[in-house]
Amino acid sequence: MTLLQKVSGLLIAVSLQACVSGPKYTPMTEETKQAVTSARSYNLVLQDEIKPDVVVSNAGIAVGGLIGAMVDSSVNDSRATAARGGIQPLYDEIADVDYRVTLAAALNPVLNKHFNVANLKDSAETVLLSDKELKVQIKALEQGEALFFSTSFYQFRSQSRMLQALTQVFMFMQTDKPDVNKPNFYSMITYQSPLVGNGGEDSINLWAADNAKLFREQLQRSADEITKAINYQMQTSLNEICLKGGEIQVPNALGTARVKGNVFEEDEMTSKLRSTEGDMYIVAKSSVQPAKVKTCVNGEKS
Amino acid sequence: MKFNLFIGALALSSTSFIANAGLTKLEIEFDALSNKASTKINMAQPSDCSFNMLELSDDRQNKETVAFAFPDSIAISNIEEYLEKVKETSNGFTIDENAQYKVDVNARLIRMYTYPESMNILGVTAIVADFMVNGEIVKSRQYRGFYAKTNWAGGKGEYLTAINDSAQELIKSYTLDLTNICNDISS
Repeated sequence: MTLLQKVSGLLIAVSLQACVSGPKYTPMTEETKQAVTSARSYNLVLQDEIKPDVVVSNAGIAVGGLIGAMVDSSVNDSRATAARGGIQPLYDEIADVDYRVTLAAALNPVLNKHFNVANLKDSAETVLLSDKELKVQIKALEQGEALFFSTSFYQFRSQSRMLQALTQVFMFMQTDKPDVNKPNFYSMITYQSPLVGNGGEDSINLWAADNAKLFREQLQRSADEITKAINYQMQTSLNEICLKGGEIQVPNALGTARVKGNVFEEDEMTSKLRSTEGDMYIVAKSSVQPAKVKTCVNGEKS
Repeated sequence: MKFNLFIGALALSSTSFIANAGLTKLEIEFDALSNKASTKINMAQPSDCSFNMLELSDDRQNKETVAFAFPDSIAISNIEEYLEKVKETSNGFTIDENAQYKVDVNARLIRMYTYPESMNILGVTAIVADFMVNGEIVKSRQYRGFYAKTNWAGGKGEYLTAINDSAQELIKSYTLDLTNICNDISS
């Protein structure tokens, strides 16, 4: 399994508590930051537009084998076709929306603020990067040069009531023996919009109204908040005070995962939570439920 | 459908940082619509209007890829030729020399991609069509074709099959809406 398969697989696997041995949160250290004299970037967005919200059937697992797979395939075919029809009012309004450009415009200044990045582009990349290619590029870096590799996804969840965006950012320093699972810096950041409408057609119509005003705003906000979180994590001595332990729900294609962690920042509308795995979630304050978390001692560094 | 594998791992460009990123270029061949679909489309055409698609241009934001199949991305090497076939096929149903109203159509391809979902590959093709009478745009509408197929073998060609099937659905979506467009224009 490649690094990209692992990180995209995390979207599904997090709900199953499956064992996906991808990279873990790796904070930026002063030593690492001081060592970087210049950097390059590969900002990858694989999807061309938002997909309809489909909860994938895996009921066929109970049947097993080819028959089970055929059952799932058939069910998922029907669900996808139905969902595709439902999202059309939004598609009619967003032909001009280009998340690759939106994300690059938000991310590039953040990378350039911290490092001298040589090859920033106005739009995110579209072509997959294999582990083999990634290793070649890491090896080819010059001494003091770093590679920032990020990959981002966004989708509707919770019956299209929520826009959820996710970015994983890796930084690799030059080495002759690269290990793509051990970056010098790694963070996964998830943004969840407030819930919109009652689900399905009702929510899609609200996202689509007024030339998709709400959708455009939330897509922009997701890029802004995620890049703010990257900027924040470029600091080398984070002093995250745990305000309270919290639990949030993270929907994915197979269902919903429950994620626990430390709420370390919040305002009237938004909470920021660092999961026990080290991943960061930026969510509506109302979606955080109180939870007992071992790592959280109120008022102390988490 | 036939596919010709052109290049295994194509360099993006000499100036690209990731010069060896995995991009596989494939040739896509347009398949004729089934007799059943053709009959349905022919029967649904308005008698008062003739629709002549003058051009179908490639206006995608992402002209580089149409699919990702780990560890490679997939591109179409003959997109202009393919769009010409889509245009010709559409016009074959919609041009009527005897119709009272002559409508020109300028269309542009805005999306063409696939994505995986469980065991399925989902193909999407979308155009925006500008309908013109006497050189003036009188109506503009987005049409989409969508097709889900089971990814049986995990072969790269299956992604292009999903694309081609979605393009056929697009032709149906467009041609079956022309009675509505004709009614609007002639009323």
